[in-house]
Amino acid sequence: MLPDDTKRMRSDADKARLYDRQLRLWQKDGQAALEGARVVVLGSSTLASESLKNLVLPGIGEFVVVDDAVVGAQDVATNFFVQAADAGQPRAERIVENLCELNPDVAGRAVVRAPAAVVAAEDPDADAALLAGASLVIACAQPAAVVQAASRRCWAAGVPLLAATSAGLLAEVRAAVREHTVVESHAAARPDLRLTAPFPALREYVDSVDLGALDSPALAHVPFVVLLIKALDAWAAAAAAEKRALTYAQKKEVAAAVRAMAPGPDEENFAEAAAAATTGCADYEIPGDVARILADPAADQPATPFWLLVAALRRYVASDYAAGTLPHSGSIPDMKADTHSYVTLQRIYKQKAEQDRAELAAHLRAVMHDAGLPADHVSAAAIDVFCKNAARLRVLRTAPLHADRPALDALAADGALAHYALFRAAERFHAAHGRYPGAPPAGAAAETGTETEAETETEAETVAGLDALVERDARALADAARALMADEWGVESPEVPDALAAEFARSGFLELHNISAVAGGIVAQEAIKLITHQYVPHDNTCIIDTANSKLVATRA
Amino acid sequence: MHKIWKQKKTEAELQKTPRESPARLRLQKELGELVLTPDTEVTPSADNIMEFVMTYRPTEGYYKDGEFKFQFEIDKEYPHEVPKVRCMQTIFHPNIDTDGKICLNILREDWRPVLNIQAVIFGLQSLFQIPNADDPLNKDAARLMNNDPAEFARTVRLLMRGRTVGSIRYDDVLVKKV
Amino acid sequence: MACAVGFERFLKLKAPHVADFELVGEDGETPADLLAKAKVLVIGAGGLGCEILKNLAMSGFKNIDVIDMDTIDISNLNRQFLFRKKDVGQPKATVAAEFIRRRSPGINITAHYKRIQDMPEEFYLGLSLIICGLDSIEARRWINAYIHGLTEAHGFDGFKPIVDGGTEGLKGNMRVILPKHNACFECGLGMYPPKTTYPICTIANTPRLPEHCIEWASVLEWPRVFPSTKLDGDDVDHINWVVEQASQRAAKFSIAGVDFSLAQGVVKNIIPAIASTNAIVAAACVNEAFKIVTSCSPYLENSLLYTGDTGVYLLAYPLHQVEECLVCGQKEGAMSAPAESTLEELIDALKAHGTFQLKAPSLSVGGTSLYFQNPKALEEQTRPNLAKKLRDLFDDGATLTVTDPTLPTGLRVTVTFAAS
Repeated sequence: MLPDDTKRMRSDADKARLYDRQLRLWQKDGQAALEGARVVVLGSSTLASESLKNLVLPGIGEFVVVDDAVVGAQDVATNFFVQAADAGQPRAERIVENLCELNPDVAGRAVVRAPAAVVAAEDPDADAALLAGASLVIACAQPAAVVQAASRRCWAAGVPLLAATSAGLLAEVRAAVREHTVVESHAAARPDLRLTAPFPALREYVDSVDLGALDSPALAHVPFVVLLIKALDAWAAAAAAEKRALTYAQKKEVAAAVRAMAPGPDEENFAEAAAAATTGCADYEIPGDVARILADPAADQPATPFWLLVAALRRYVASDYAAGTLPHSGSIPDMKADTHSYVTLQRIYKQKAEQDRAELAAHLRAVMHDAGLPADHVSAAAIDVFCKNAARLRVLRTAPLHADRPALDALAADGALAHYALFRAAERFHAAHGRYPGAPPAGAAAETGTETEAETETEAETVAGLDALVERDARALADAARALMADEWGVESPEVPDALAAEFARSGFLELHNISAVAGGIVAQEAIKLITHQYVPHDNTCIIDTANSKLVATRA
Repeated sequence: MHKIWKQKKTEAELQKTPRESPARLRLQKELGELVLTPDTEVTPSADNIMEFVMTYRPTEGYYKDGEFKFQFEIDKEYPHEVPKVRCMQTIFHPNIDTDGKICLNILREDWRPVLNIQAVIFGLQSLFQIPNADDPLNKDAARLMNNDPAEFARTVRLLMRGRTVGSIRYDDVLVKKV
Repeated sequence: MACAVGFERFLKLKAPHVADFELVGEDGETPADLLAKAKVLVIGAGGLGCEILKNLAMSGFKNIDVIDMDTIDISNLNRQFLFRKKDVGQPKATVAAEFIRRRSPGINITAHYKRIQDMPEEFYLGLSLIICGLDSIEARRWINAYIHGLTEAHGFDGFKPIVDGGTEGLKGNMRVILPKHNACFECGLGMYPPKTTYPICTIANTPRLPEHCIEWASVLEWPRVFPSTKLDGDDVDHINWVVEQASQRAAKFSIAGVDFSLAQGVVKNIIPAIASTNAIVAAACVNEAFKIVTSCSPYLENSLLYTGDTGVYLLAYPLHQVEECLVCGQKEGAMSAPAESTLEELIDALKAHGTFQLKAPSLSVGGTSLYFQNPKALEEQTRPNLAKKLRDLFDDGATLTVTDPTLPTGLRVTVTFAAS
């Protein structure tokens, strides 16, 4: 099938150019995950279209928009992806059509049904599978009942859920993720050079370098790794100490030993070695996040490739071969060195990484054998990536959005407790009154956006009336938030500034385009991290208050 | 914004002459306060201070009695961008190639906007006082300096008089006694 | 009640965090009037620019200018959503403006396919506010310095708030710059490290990384082989040549990892860019512009940081003015001197001046050197000016730029000729 293959090759090259600026962040496998994903969005307001824009552009595989709302004046005023001519038509259909136009590779579909009906647990039809079969569900500007039902449904199915609300100058983005595992976290990790306990090939290489026999330029190009291992040896012998868990004072002694070896004060490689002695390279330690993952009960009865690999990693770390270390990633930082020494050193670490990988793979086979799984259950590529990133593994488990009580300590520490309580109190206000605080009673909202002369004449009165309604609602909202904090969350002397409650009520929980765009950006960013399993999603709440320039990433 | 509206200036306070660019302002400050040793001079023209020549006459070391000229070009993004400096003569030096390119850390990877022309001048002077043969740009010069310092010294003195070696024409850089 | 929606409703209501009088414009306008009247310049029609234009249109701004000297490339389409494949090669500003015009016909939007340096002073004086969505530090420094100059030359008429956004991968930042009132772009320049470079001797003699080989090909070999052609990172043939040379060198030194993508990244200093980060930063920028123009809420004092690679980190914080700042750190002053007096007498007066108290001032006017204390050659060239009369050196009311060891940066002194 030559013609087809040629076509695909061309389209791969096209894609490489089209997506160049994002492939530099998440590479081909991240892109493949995006292209294989299906995102279900509940709601079709500005928040939904702004979130989706940022997923359609980078090439998400498929998206489904669930909403039965029709396009009204508020949409024409704030939603870039509907127009005046769309008034009265199903909003989900309009935004799907306009969003699809952004990227021909993306498939979009509208389901013109009420999100509440789709998430209702008693609904037994095919819609039930819509959420369970999704890679990710996003609830945009949905009432609490819908968010909570979606949270229960997604939680049960193990599907991550994002929920966002945008109200005037305020917004909130929350995540409910039962378990999310990350191998390629791109997190910063200390260089891993095994200086205190060199593995045999490294030891052999270090011993083969006779510093005394080198002329000045050669000495100036000995990699600092070699210098520091020699200095550590000399220091340990002189101090009769172990090269383990060095105190800061001991590290300073090692640095002094390095400097004593230097032919002059300006040699860069000796300076690198002395700096590394004190800044941490001199000790090996399994990073805290990885240590917690190794101790996680999920690895006791591993059910996914990630946890199978972690179970294998446990055995690896405990083995005599590894002696408490993780598999080496195979990469080392650049350092002052001549080409030959550096390339040799690089090869030594790379070979060590290959050996480590083989050891881990052997443990994995044993783990899979014990679990009754076929040997190829975890791909060779997955083992490679896992070993390369063993020091950066991450696991995320957030609270669900149907929990009764938020993480009060974290919210309070980040100064976001009043905001969070006001969002929840506004949801209850909506549940009780059928409208959000500050929003005019149902039926009063304009659907067409055209005002008659007579209405314009009475506008001043109308605005005054609206101001009064907002003021009344603000007081009720503040009281409700305080009651919620005191009575249900057990907060002593709850503080809700009146001006903040007034800001919530001013919004009427109607969206302003910019704030929905900020929230939509954060939603999409978190969605991409969840879908690609690269970088680390946030646990789990962002509060955006641009009235007070207070923007907080916190946990609820 | 209300507070700012109220601060309207009177006509007399308005400035009619355009500002100096940030780069030129910084350079004016640096040059106006530059302190040089007697062996060094810089000769900008009052019409354009953004390009100038630095002349250095080492009084000791391998390059004693030479007169070395460097072209400085200060970019309009200075000091965010490093000054471009090039040796104007073809010389035999471990850290300067025969095209005039200079291997000096602060002229490349270690440049920071807090550094200045004075620091670059010190850096260039130090290359002539103590050439760094361990990190060479001209490998032949470095090898000779490391292996046979006496022969290196002789070669430097010879080539400073101006010589053609192979395809390379070294410039006569000796100080002319007037 | 057929109530207003979107920003219209919002602007009609009482503002909790703003005093009532602040909701009335200088000439008695309402917030909605101010919004309809405002003229906004968007610098850059790229990743941030497309978002900024959409946000402005959807927030009620009616008068927009957009300037960009760039044309559309295929690699823009993953985030610059006002462009389609058929637009590749067209000017970004023109295509973006046309899209906005189609979506929001009531908006008066003008495209400039130009450099910001090429727009006349009257154009900048006619603006209310500037939003920058640029990746070029150079352009951002230029507009920052230019608007500070405009403020000094025209007072409040030249005062143009600048909202500046920037992104890199999953990180972004925003600044609200009120010229002469808070930290300017130059004050925060330290946050933008210079491009990564490698020691030239490493590139020439001891390469270790694929980047070293690419720099060898692009920095050392290209100018040697093609002395009269500038290496163009967008020219596929140029990059292919670099890849070929760098690969040969890498093979010789047993270095792995040279490929087209890396070579182009190194040569063009490519910064990863995605739609979502741009969306966050651009919307935050336009929201500040909306607040500044309408006073509907206090604007940000003055910086916002977003990082999204490991969790989310959001921070609003005040960046402080830097005393040594080359743009906003300059002091201002005025003095009068007889037109017939000499430059030397003026310098003596500056030294004796109670406020300035200078020790060894060097002076320029409009890019011309008047007197330099150092270096020797420059002092000698400018020394004849000392005896010259002021009226022969500059006009009445000219502003001199003075530097002195006692000053952190410069002093702008406006000299009025007094009757002698």
